[in-house]
Amino acid sequence: MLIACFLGGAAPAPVSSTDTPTADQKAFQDFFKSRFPQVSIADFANGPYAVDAGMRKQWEEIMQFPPYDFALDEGRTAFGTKFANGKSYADCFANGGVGVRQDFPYFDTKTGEVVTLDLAINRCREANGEKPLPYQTGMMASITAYMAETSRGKPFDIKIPDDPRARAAYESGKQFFYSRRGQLNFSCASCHVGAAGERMRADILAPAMGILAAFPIYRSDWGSMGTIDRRFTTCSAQMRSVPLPPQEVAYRDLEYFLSYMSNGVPISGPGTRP
Amino acid sequence: MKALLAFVSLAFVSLAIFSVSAHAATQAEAEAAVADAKRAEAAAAQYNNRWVPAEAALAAAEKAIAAQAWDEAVAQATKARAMGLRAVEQSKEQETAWHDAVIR
Amino acid sequence: MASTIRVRAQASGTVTEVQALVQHPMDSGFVKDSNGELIPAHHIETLTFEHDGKVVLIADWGPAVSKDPYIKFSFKGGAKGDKLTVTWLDNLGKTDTLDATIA
Repeated sequence: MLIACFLGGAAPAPVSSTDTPTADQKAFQDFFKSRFPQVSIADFANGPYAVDAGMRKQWEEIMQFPPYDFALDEGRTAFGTKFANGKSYADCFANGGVGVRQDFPYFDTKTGEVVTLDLAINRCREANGEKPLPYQTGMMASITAYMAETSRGKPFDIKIPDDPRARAAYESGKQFFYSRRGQLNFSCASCHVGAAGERMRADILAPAMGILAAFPIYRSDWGSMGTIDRRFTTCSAQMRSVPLPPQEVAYRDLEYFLSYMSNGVPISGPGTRP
Repeated sequence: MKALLAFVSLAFVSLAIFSVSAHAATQAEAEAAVADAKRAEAAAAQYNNRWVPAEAALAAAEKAIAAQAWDEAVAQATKARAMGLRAVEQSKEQETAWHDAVIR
Repeated sequence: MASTIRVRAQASGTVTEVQALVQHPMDSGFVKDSNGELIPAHHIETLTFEHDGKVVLIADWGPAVSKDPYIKFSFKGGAKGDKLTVTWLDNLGKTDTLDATIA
């Protein structure tokens, strides 16, 4: 190990005992707090609106009549509707699915995988004889919009259990976030860390801290609702990297890492974005 | 007149040289090129790093094969293969390089 | 079935400020679907606001207005408790209407 260091450190940096998720999270949050000192931890949930005054003004106007209102209503109704077998979504979640969004994703030690809210919704459906919903928009976005609304203001509270598989999932998400990919050779970090708050064409890049807090979002660009999955896949395509299938393990691990990094930032979903 | 003759013969010779080196692709060559490109893309897929334009070029190559446009197929397949190989390089580099980007 | 119209009207002095969000696909007729087929034009043609028997605003909309359009305007008059009627009619003859109360 020591010799490798003397030889110019060509070997990969070893995962030392100080390179823990807790240390990562502190460094991550300290970075964004010092980069954007005027932004409160709660305001990081508002992405570009927290770091650009002009955009914030437009956002406040649009929020007089949130464009996600129709999806939210649809989701509220769907959530309360029983399945054919008499059960409902409430039977699949703690506290009847009310005020739980901030705990997702979590690491399921029984199945050894990261479970996102969207995945949990479809597993609930399948366990009750219903067909799964497509992941990117439509009813999935409406139901997650309702569930997010019941958690509005509650801070992200993601846990990494003392289980090497959970740690591995976290590390995989961390690696994905920082790895360059696609023809444009960008990583998530290229835009949302290095260039956070800067313009990319007409958009302001949101800081990575809290970036998932507002999902699902009504994105004006899409003219419709979109889930985290929709954003991950479109972002990949924008980097000219072929998107992975919905809820692919790599994407779930990425969501796990990003959400854990944002612990303490309150849920601000459903949200609206340019 | 002499100059013109000289020019024409020079042009003729040049044309002859170029036409010797650029021959029309055969079906076998086109299919081999597409197979190579597919292999490169499969390697990139192992890293979850297929590039969008590489997939587009591969699709164009397969379309050209279907249309029996062997030269076009070779051209597109060559592009796709080059990008697939570059994507694999990129992923291999990133396996260690990503650590440098981490916020510490 | 829930209304496609959401209205908020606020009386302030001599003026009433109105905001409305209307749920409508507003298909221009120029966009193709994933199969390459043109999505037929389906958009609101008129949006009317009536107060006290008078039309206070008619919006003549068309393909240039985006999906789920939002409108904000003010008119002279109106008082708290008054009724404001909002109606839209689209190019396929579909319609919806809503009675709102000015706050």
